[in-house]
Amino acid sequence: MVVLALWPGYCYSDGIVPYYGSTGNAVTDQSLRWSMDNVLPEPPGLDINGVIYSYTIRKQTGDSVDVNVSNENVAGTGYIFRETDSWLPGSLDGTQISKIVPTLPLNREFWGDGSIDVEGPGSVEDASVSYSYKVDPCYNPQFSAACPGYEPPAVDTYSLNYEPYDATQHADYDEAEDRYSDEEGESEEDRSDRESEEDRDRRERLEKALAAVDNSMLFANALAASQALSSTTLSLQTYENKTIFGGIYTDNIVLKDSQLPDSGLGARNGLAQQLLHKQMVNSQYD
Amino acid sequence: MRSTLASIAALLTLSSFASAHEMIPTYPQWEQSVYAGVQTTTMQLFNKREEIEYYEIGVFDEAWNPLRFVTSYSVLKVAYLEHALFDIYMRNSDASKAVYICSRSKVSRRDSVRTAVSSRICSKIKKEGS
Amino acid sequence: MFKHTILSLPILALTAIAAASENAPINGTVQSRCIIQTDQAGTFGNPNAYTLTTSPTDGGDPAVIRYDVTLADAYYAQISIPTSFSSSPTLPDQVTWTGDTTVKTISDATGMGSYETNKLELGDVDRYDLTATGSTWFETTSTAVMGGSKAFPGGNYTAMVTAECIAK
Repeated sequence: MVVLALWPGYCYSDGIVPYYGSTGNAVTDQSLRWSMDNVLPEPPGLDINGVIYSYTIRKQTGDSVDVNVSNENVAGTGYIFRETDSWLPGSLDGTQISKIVPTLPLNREFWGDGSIDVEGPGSVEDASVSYSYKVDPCYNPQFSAACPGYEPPAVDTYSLNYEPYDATQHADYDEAEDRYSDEEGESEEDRSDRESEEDRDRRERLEKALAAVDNSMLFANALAASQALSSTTLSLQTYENKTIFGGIYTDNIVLKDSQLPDSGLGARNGLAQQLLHKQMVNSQYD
Repeated sequence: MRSTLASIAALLTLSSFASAHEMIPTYPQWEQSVYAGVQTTTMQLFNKREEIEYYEIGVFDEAWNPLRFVTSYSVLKVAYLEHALFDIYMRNSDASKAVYICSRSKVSRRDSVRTAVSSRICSKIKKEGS
Repeated sequence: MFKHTILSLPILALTAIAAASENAPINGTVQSRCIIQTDQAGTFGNPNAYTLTTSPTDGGDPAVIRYDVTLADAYYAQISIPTSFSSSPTLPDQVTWTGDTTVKTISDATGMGSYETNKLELGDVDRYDLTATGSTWFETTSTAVMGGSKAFPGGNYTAMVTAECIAK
């Protein structure tokens, strides 16, 4: 955040910027004439801002020769550009001239055909003429959305290219027409009967179809259940029959009924305890 | 004005091999320096010759005889694309005879170019009343 | 250290914003001037053992010097052809020098068309009165012939063309 606070304000525009350039040599043959359409690049927003030319003069030293480098005015008469070099007596044959002539920026639509004309007893050799220019891409605002005056285009309406289809030319048209015309001739009652019958037939067909579906579903379910059962059922063995040898077990010892005498040892123990109990009870009383 | 601009535009764009030497002002004037009896003037040299590093300064009279003068260095080192300001000091008696102040490029012997161009530009001292 | 940094940075930010609003003028003056430019330094061709020449037909290139003048009738150009080698191996004999300077290209037919006709030839020096503003290209040719048709020794040879622009 501190770095951002220190970062210098930097405005960057995404707009379309003009650019500069220059053409090649417009003079392509000895006629010393050229069409600007063959020289200038395509963009419509092109303004010519200078003419650069050179040539070698051919003349006698004592002669006076004028050389005119010019472009016609498309929008009217006369010239949109004209530069005159006056070679006075004393100027030597074979002297070269090289010049840059700045012009007010003018759109390409004003610049007509160019030429080099020689007035007087002389000629030019090795002529070269080129044009410097500036291009504004936004000359047509629709060039880019970043251009001033740009308007979003409307929705395209499509024009359909189609050929009308004539159904009467179809191969089955005649048969269908016959059937239709047959139906048109029947009475109301016949029609309702026919329609009822057609309904019945439709229902029957539907039922058959549904039955076939049900049957197939039942079969499928049964098959699935059978497969499931067979995959889970185990083979069980029955119990084996066992014989157990039983009988009666008689008692070995039998007690005979008789009188059993009291045990003298038990009586002594009992009496002692009785006497002790009696003492304890009496001890409670004075 | 337009022709001057046109010629300046021509100067800026026609050069195919920019290797130039220039010195201004064209018509310098003497001024009284801080030293009594000594005149001074300031010249500016611009070196656009990549192969030249040194320029020799000279002051001459009408007949191109060299005159005595004082400057920081009689042979200035001016790097490529650099401007150099230098002051010329002359006694009043010599200053009255001085007509030209010249700067001349010094071509190094180590250059392998077979013909070299030594350039010299001379400014003419403006006399009072001219 | 860190604390000091935190405190000083906002001040720097304010200062930077204030500095960004200043104007930075670019000064310059337009003066009458003569500019000498070397368009082509020139090279010697060696058509035979005893001749060095800048003639293009013999494998050489003439020196081309351009003068740019912004004030009419304020300068004259003096161009000297070489009369000796500024650096060379030891020569076995005297060398004979010939050469010439001519106007090759001009930027003003009317004003400069007569430069070549009106030039003064002062020995090895050609003087041109630069009466018109604009650019003038001068071409200097030079030929050196060894005396007695002796061969030039192997090595580097350099000859000097002097181009002067002198205020009137």
